[in-house]
Amino acid sequence: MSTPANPLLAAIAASLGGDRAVRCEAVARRLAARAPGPLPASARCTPEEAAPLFAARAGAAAAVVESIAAPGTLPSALRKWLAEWQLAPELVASDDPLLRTWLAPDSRCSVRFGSPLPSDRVGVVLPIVAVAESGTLVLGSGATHPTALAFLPDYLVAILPRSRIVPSCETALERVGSGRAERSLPRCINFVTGPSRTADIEEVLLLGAHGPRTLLVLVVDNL
Amino acid sequence: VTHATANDGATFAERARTALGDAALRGALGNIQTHLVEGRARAVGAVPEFEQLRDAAAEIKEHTLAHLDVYLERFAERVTGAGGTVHWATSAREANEIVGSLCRAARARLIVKGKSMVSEEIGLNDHLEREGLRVLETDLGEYIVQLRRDRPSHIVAPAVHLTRRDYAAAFRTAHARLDPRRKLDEPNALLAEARAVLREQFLTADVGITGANFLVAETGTAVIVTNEGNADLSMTLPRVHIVLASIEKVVPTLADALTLVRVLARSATGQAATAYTSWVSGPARAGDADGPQAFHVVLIDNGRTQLLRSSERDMLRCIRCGACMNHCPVYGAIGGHAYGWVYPGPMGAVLTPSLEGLAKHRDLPNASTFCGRCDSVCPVRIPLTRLMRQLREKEFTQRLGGEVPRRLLSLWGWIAAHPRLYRLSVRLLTLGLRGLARRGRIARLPFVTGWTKVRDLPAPARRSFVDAWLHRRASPSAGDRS
Repeated sequence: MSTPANPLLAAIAASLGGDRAVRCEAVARRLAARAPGPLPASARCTPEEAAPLFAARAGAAAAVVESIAAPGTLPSALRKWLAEWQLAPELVASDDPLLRTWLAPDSRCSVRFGSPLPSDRVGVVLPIVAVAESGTLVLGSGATHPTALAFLPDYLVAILPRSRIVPSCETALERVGSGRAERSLPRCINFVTGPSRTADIEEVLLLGAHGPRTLLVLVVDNL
Repeated sequence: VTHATANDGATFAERARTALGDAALRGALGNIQTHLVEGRARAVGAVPEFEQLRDAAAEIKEHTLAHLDVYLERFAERVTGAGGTVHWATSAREANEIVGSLCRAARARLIVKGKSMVSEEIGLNDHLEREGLRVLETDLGEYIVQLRRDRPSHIVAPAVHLTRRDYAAAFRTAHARLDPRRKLDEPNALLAEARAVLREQFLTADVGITGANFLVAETGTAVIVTNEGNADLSMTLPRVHIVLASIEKVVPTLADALTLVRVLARSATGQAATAYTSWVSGPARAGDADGPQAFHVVLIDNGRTQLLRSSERDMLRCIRCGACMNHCPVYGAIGGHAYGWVYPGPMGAVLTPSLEGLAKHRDLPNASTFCGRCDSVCPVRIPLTRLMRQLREKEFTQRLGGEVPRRLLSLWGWIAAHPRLYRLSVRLLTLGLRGLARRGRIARLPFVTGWTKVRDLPAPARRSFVDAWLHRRASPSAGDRS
């Protein structure tokens, strides 16, 4: 790379002084190494520990976490929660083949697959991974998952196969990037930890700001 | 009650005095101690490796600053490669013009905004309104601040100076078509109303503007860390997403961003993770179910290139967590507006004079007791007290202060450089002060009456530390009874 034509970059280079070629080499090394930062103990665990840690930390962030044995029981679990919330049996879900398999056969609940409308009360998503470190769900935009699904409906339900829970955010991002060309990422990756919240009125924490008021995570044990 | 706002012509001392007399403000600032300071202590206490994370965070920012041109170029290449557009703004005016022309080109009837301190810095809303564009803040705190035509008083909690009654009053005026008899006493009722009103705006907006906490050079990704979900709605639903970021927001890799996110949330709000951390790389792709058609990043210098070559360069490490102001006894007493510009507290006391000029803001680096709490909590280890001291030195050498303090400082400096004279002066001063004292307290100091106007000065000990030390060495059995 030669001297940049961009005047702002040229001004920065002048402020820094020194040899730009040396800087370019150092940057290339750093980017190639992609060295991880210090990983706190809270971001390290065995595969067996991951699910209980996730549940505890998501719970601490005010998510509701429930384990269910197998995907076959998902429709009844969802109906139970919809009744609990006093909502009509209507869902909007990511157009994911797995979600279609698990949710479509239920005649007692109407499910639409695709983007949410302003009138939709409950959205259902299938996280790519989840992070035990912080109780975080990781969603990625694409043809099947509309980003708005995690933000528009009042209630967000994540169906989370237990095997998708990883220890750290680092592992999660690796998982999201793996299998994609040149480690390219989805246009938008959302780390979601609990329902939306604000403390802007007198620093008192209130749940349900502009995003979901309630976040329910159904962890499917046999997946 | 309208509080002193930016650049209203008053001096720092005048604004501080007004703030100190404001009982409502003092009550509101107390919330910082109980919620943010204790929250941070709990969150940091839960991570034994936190000091290591601070070291790593500081190293990432320092390394990036030392290679800033190359990382920005790489970031821009990646954004362009993903179908986004990067704009370079040298000044606030240029940045405003770029955003204004992007909004006009998009035929924007409504612009929704997530919280962005750099947009406050460049005065974006005023500019867009002058251009006849309608721009709406959607973060709850920023929304109330905009309704009141006020200014944020904190970089993370912009409405920390306001109470629920202020919200209710502003909502009754702004949401005039709602039932005037509705109850707005409880924070939950206020939040529900703001949510309902803003929901319609997200759905109709043409352009969404957000800030960015980090820009990842490796992938061309903007990282946006929030809690309310308003920024995500602002950057997902409208046709155009504009990211505003100052040039020092860039970091090398995704892994580096993760390290910084770990210290940011804990330092800012005491959360292990905020509700939302969003990683955005470019506009919607072919086949994507949603997302904006256009993605713009406006990279803003506005004085930072100059700061990069100055002795206050470490300030550019700042990740805007607000921990320094939360822990600052001066900020805790006077709040953010007294600082006179966008950035308050210790970080503002360094950044504001560095960007806006020391001559205009020479009081700010002096608004510190140098207690060092800011240094001890800064997640990227900015030596804030050292930087404030450097700015005080610049104020002195550039003759920006008054002549009397300057003479007195010179005199003090000269005496302090002569140990015998210094000790003699201390002894004489001690005698004099003890003579003024009644029952160990001095109620009124001659010449510097300001000091004792609102409190007593304790009388000095009979012997100075040095004298006590010498005495003790001369007769070890005497002990220290001075």
